[in-house]
Amino acid sequence: MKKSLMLLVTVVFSFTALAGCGGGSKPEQEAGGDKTQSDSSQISEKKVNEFGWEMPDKTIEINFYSGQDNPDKVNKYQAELQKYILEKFNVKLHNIVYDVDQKEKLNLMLASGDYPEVITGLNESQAQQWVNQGKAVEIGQYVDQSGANIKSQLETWYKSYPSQDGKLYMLPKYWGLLPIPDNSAHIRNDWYVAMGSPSFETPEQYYDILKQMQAAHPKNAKGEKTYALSGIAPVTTNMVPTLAGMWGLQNGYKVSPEGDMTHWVNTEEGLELTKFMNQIYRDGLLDPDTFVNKFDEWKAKFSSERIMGHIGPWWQSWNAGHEVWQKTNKDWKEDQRYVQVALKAAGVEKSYLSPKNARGGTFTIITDKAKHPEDIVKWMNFSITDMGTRLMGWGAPNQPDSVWKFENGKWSWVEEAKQAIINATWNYDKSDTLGQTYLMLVEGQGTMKDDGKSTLWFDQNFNNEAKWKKVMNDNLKDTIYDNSLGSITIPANDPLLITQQQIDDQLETLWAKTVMSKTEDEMTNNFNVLKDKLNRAGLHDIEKYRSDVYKDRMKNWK
Amino acid sequence: METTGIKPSIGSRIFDAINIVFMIVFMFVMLYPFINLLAISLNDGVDAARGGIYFFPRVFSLDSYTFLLKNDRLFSGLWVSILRVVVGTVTCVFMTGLLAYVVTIRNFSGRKFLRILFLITMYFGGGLIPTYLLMVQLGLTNTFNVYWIPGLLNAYYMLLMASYMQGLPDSLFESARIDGASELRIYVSVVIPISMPVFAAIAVFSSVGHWNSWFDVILYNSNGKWDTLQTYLRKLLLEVEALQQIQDAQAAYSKYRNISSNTLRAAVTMVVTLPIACVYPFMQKYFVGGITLGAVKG
Amino acid sequence: MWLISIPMILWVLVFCYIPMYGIIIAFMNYIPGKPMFSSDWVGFLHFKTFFHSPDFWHVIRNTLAISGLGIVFGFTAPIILALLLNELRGRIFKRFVQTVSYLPHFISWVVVASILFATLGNEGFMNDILLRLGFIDKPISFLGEGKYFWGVLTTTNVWKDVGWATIIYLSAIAGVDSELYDAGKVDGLGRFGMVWHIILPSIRPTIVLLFILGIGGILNAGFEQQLLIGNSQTREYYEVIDTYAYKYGIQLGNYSYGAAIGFLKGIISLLLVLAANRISKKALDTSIL
Repeated sequence: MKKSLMLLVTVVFSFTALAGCGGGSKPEQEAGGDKTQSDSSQISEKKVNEFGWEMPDKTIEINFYSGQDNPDKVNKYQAELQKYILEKFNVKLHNIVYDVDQKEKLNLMLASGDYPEVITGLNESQAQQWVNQGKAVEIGQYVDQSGANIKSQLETWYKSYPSQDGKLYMLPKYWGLLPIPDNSAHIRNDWYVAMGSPSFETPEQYYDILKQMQAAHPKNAKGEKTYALSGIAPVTTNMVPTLAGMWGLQNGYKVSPEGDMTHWVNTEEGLELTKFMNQIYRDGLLDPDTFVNKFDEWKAKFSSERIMGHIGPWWQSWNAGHEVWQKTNKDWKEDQRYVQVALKAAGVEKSYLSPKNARGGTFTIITDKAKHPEDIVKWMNFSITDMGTRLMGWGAPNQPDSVWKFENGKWSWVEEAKQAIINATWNYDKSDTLGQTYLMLVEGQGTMKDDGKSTLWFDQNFNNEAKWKKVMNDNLKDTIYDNSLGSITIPANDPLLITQQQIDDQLETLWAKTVMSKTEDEMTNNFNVLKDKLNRAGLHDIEKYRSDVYKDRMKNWK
Repeated sequence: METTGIKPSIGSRIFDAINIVFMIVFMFVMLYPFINLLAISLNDGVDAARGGIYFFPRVFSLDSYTFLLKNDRLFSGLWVSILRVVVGTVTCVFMTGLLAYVVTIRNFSGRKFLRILFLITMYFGGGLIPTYLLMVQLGLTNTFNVYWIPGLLNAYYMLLMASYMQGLPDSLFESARIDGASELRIYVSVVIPISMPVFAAIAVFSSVGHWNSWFDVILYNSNGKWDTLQTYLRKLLLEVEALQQIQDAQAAYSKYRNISSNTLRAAVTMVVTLPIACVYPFMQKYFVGGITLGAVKG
Repeated sequence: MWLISIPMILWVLVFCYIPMYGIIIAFMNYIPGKPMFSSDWVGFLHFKTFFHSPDFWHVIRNTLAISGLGIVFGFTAPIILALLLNELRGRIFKRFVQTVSYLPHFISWVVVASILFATLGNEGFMNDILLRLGFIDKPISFLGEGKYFWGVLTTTNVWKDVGWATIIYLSAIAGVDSELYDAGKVDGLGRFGMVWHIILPSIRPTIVLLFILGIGGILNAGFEQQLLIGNSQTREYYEVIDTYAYKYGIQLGNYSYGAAIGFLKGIISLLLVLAANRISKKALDTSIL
């Protein structure tokens, strides 16, 4: 008995002792700042730094929660920029993330009352939830006082953010029109060139080329079978909206000039695109795992040179294509890659592949935990400017490893960094350690107003010089469209959310079955079953909701 | 079972042979994922994305392990994990064992009441939010205590232990009671020694449970001070999950590039799994060979 | 005796019963952030919604099918394995096999899912063998067709946890009084006789206990494995109560709906376990209460 009790007591003691020790360690002290600067702050007049920012007497602290991520990484990556902004601006930004599902964490925050003064990365209905609970601060008055830049940068969109009663609670992040493509069709470049670069425009012609290409390369180096196309599940989210865009639909919906939205399964075009996929399946050229692959599994196949083409975001064929090959294959040549191409179905006026939401899809709120919301708005009023956006997107200037310089009120690129991006030799680990985009609150991603071309994304600034980016952008420039009106989310706690979930679940299952039909008749049959089931589950209600919001926005926003 | 001393019959020998062959096949099936993970963890990160690695690495590299061992937080995590396993297991096994003994005593009037009281907790819970709020109110968040206090008693372990103790002859306890020993004393000096097999089994369950749990760590101890080793693995795995939430194509591109390679994930799995897998062999000696009750009775 | 029990009762009240006030949100329209008691009462609305949901029947069917298979195979496999392990003669070999058998328990489901993809996928190991042996002429989509899902899941569950579940039986076998073996020897029992007449009766209470708890757990058909191994094509076969409650409850911010399903599940489980216990008490004279 004594032995066991002693053990228990020892254990309890050792952990209490340990708990005591743990409290002793303090976070690292900030390295001593620029001496000259703090000396000059004695002068009664406010000091203005080289960015035109009026230094506050007391450090403005902004802790913000930004969603799910790996906290160790985020803390490491934000450190350098955080330090720079503290020194030069006397503002301390701190990005907090947790490795817990964002939705769950937000609900726990709401329930426990334990949250920081700013929350970012919310979608509109999440932000609205905080407003409804009275936990978001009304910021319209502060913007009126000291938010001139916020108003001028957001321009006409500014009036779209206040809630029904005219009060402003949220500001957007990643707003603005970024004139670079998101989605496209892809084709293996060197094999295509070897075929004599035959021209194509419609999805059918594209598939025909993939088919010939597959016939020329029926097996990869390891002797595994190759396919024309594959996909990443859920395919109805990852691939179909782009495919539908080739048939003239916008983000999966047919939009009439009056603003009526029809889901693609209820359109002729939807049947056509299903027919297109079914043909590939029946030819045995659709990867049988198309509806099962997760990204890693798709990437394994794709990087093993087993897929001729792809339909989806532009970067996927980079990430899973030549970015793998250039590191694993010593003899890799730069034309061994995929190029991004536009497709347009016959008789369709315009192809809509990359929906852009200029209004911003995610939002930032200031919570009731903020003691001085006006100071936070002041910071936002700086960081939303073109120069503020550069600082947030590219990291601190004039440092040993910076990518840009800022001297005498003028900015310029660091030539080596620029060349590295153009030559595709840039080491992206460096982007992270510079803190690029880690401390963003309200910055836009569109082209900046002062020079009309630079953008928040550091690696997207030299697209005309970078050979393959230019090819992509030239190929796809007519497929980008403004989808600000059409990006609609259903509010939290609306029963339509359940309908939406049921439809999403069934759509993926039934569409997979339809595509994998053995004959065209069977396919048409299955498609009609799919349509009926979804409409019975309430698809028309969703269409109606979206149409109403769309029409409302047409009236109020433009 | 130990050899009986009698010469084994032919049928018995055939059975032995089949049994051994079966076990060897069985072991391969059980070990395969580790062989596979080991091969992946020893492969080059970019190359491994191409898949197709089964038994041997294709492009050998120790990068994942050197990267891991450079991280000194890994060692503080290991220390917290060990502490959690030791404190959590000792307290849980001792207290739950005591509870199991209490609900086994035949002439104790509250026996059935206690069993039902605990049985109910297996089927009803208040959900995430009330439990979280409780931990906050009790001041258990961001402390080490949240690892062992809420897991002190476990209804499932209680039933398993009680079922074992019920098989013990009453006479054992009676004689001790006649000697005037308190119940606590009987528990420590009579019940524990003869119940070693079940205590060892529950200790394995509990220690592995403590070692593997991660949700309570990232939920209640989110400040990172008490991160366990397992949370490092989870952080890497959850990184992949978080990707699905990203809508913006540009943001997705940079996130996917930044993600830890599957070789690193495999290496962490190896590092996190091996220490705890070694606990079992130590507990095993309590399972092998029977207990002689006669000796205790004597 | 009560003296020892009181701290334990206090513990269980604080950590298990106090949070149970959360159950009442099953009868409300709870929105996180609002004080719990100021939410609107809706009575049995969420229960009705669940019963009338288009997914209700296949969710129940899948839960019962997967649990049923789990009881048939997942419950018996560890008993058989424990008995076989016990018959191994080499001490070191025996210990080694035991240790190896419980290793899969440590592999997270994410990793299991990717290993399964490599083994059972259309181009996996299994199809490769079957094709080469000429049993099939087209790959079978083990992971992409609903009809295989229950089998795949049950096999995987057994594989992952058979060694783990064996531990408790091994400890029960180790608890068999060695005097009983001696008595068996005197009676001239053979190897098989020892297992049948001595070991099995001795570990019967453990078997019965786990069986009763298994009946009570029939509505817990798994969660993570479904989400990771299942996909859109097998959804009609994988969706079980827990995945459904997660998707339509927590994921949609509908905590009340999730709580209602959880409450319903708890009641049924408790009734089942009590009923199973009553039957066992009458038929086998073994009770867990």
